Amino acid sequence: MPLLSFLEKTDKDAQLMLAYAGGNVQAFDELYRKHKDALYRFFLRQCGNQALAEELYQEVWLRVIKARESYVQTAKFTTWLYRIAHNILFDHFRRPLTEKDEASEVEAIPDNASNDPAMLLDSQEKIARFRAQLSTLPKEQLEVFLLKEEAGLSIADIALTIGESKETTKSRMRYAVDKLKQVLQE
Amino acid sequence: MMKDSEEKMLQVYLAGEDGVSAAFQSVSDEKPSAKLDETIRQAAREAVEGLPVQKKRIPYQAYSIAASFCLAVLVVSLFLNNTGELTRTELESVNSIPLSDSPRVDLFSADETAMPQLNADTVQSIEQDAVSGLNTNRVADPAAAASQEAAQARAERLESAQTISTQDRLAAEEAALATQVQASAVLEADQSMNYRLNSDTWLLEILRLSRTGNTLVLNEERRLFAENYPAIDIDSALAELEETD
Repeated sequence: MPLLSFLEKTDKDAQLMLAYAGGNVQAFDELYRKHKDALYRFFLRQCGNQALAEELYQEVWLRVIKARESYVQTAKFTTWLYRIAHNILFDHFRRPLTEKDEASEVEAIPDNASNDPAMLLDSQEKIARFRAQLSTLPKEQLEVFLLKEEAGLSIADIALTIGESKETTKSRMRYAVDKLKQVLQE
Repeated sequence: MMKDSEEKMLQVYLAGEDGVSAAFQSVSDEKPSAKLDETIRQAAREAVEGLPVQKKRIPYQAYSIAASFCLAVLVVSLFLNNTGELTRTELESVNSIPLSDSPRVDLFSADETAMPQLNADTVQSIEQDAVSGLNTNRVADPAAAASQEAAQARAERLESAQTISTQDRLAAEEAALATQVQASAVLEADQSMNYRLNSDTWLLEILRLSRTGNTLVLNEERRLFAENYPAIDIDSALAELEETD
């Protein structure tokens, strides 16, 4: 109970969620604005195509909306949110591929980086290789890496989100970082 | 040693000192479309605003409650009507029992209903006599003694009347019980005659009787069967039945 009360006081996102559960739509807007981009990229990187990422991303938020009345704070809101995202992604990858899915897998992720002046200063080739390396990471390693980078979760929270031990999480993270580092060192 | 270096490498990454995080953040600027944002925000608004909409359904709930009540009243009235018809049917079936064979008992006769009134009058009269007797005893004259004797006689009559009343009630109850027993016996007899409903079952019963050797009943059944089914030859029909048996 002391941990829960501590979480309630410190986790602003959880307070926003509880406010939304009480009927405050502005609280949801704030929550959404805060997490939308990172959550979207979490799917985009792992799905490989925009349409599917949008579909799964929307599914997460619809589940959050649906769960508002039964929401009970047992962990950080971000952990809870990405746990939903992890489950949706897990269900998607477990599902057998349909023709539509196979076709959409071929679509490339839009290269928004080309519009970034800061990135234009760097080598375009390096950016492309970094992206390519990201896409070649095994899904488990990529997910762990994205949960750190996009959601800003700690190793312990990532382990909680994906339902694995801390050691397994660390191991996956090490492999992912090591591979990405190789591109930067080239 | 290897593990230590890996752990150190991880700590460097987590501290953001190896450039991996920076490189990743520089290529991570994708955003969901404005249309998608609006769709989700709209869903969130509708979910919250949906609560008053549910409250608007209350009139329909009231209609459904009213309809349920009407239905319940209808069902109960139908049930009561059916129960009344059943009771009437039962009474008719009881009335169909020949009363000449059973002891006639009228449970609601005028004598029986008049009895409590009679007893009440008698008790009141005796009580009045007793009170007057007590008062007159103090005087102790021959008239008072005569009155006391009269009161005693009335008390004996009351006791006798009460005894008769109890005996009558017991007799009535016994008679009613006997009527019920007789009614059930008649019903059983009717049910036992079910084999006469068609020729096949009747023939089977005759066959059974012929095997048991109950000649008196057998002959009676054969006679009745011949009267009801003159076209059927009993013996040949029985022979066929025996073959198939």
